Amino acid sequence: MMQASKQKKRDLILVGLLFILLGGAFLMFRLLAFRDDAALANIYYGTSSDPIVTIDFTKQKITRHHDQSLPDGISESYPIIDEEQRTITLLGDYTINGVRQIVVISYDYGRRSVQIIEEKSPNNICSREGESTGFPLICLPNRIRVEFVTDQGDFTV
Amino acid sequence: MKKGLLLVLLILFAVFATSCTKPKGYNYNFYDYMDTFISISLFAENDEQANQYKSDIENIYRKYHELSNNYAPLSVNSGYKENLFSINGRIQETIEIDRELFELLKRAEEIKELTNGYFDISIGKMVDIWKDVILNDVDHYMHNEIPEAVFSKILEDLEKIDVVEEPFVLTETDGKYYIRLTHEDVKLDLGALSKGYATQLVYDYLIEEGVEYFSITAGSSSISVAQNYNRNTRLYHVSLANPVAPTGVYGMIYVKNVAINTSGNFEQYALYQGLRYHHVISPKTKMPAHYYHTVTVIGSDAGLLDALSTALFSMPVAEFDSFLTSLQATSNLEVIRFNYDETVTSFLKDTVFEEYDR
Repeated sequence: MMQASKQKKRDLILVGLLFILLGGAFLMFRLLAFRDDAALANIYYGTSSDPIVTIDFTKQKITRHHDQSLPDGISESYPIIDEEQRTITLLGDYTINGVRQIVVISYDYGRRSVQIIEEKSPNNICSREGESTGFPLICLPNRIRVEFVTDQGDFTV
Repeated sequence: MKKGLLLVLLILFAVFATSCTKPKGYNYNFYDYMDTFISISLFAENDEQANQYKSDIENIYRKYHELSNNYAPLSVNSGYKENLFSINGRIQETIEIDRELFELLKRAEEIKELTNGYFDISIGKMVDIWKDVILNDVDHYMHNEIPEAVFSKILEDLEKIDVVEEPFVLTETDGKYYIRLTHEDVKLDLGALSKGYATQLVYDYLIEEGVEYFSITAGSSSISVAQNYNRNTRLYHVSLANPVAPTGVYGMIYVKNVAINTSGNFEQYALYQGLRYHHVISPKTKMPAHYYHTVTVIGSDAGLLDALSTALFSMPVAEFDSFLTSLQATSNLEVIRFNYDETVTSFLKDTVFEEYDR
């Protein structure tokens, strides 16, 4: 009788401990999975939500995720990453006399900034936007964009 | 008891596993509508459902892009009667239009009345004069000083254009909808309404479909959010861009289930005698105003906010304050204003705003 009661008490303690452990694990999961990210800038082409290149300002590292998908007849492969000049070149959708134009993006690890330094489009809006450390840079007719992942929030208006 | 313990453990495991299950997130990007980049993030049960949402959302933006476009004719197979491009220039002609465009134009008239004429879609010719200078591709005036001769020419050109009190007449007869432009100086431009209007339709559509977690960004100045799946608070954290230090932010707001719209002078502008000249033009003066750098409006109707932020931007301070006080008595509208002297004024009700040291 006494032993059964002891067993029951042990079971209750065990269940309680498991409760605490699982609850703690769940809280940790929520905390770690959804905390704000470190400062990154992702470069996208077209309507895809998969970045082609990621600039990691903290690790000072460029990650090339995949090649830009381009139609047949374009021999060069994009993006072109020049780590010496700190530029990333993609091929935009805007054409002049049937020739697609390049978009050159420069980055600065120290300033954690990105700038479109060369592009062709009717009003050159995106290259005139200047340097950004948080504001997305959108090259509309070229369908290329740079979006930041920072601790400054989900969006900027 | 061992069986009981096992059962408890199984239940606990099931609860834990269920609580970690994340609905699948989808992100859709559009470059082809409203002359802006539109990005939508939403959660859906499965790919089929998400694809249906995408298709319906794209149809809404495509429709209002076609109807409100004032620089290109309707596409060949659009199925619509007219758009702004085909209407503009046909003075005193009664033109049949689609019900959707009629309702959009009617909304524009209502907001014009609400804002005492500070929102006016008929001043497209004046907006064009300013845009032509700001976006000038040869002399590159953007962010640079406009020469005095060019500035004088702008004033001269503006002098020749009237702001018309009743620029167009809308009529409905036997289930058909018509518009008539009344004056040669009228050029309709829905750029400050159609994007927000369509975004609100998308927002309402997703809510009707039972989507709880989503965000819509239509350009850098317009955001509509429901709830944020990725935070326990369900709030989105939205930074407010500092208009005088474009690489920084001056504060953060914490929101859910709202629309936010900012009108500002910090992206596309030219300078004259040190003042910023942008393309938010006051119908009262035909000029860009210099009272504020940005006006951010928070509320529940993205279309109204799009137009209101434009109207408020041109209102002198006293008029702004009294207009807003009266509007806030009957609505949930909130405003954060970055003044020209770089101070910040807020007119908030429920939204938490954290202003940063600058």
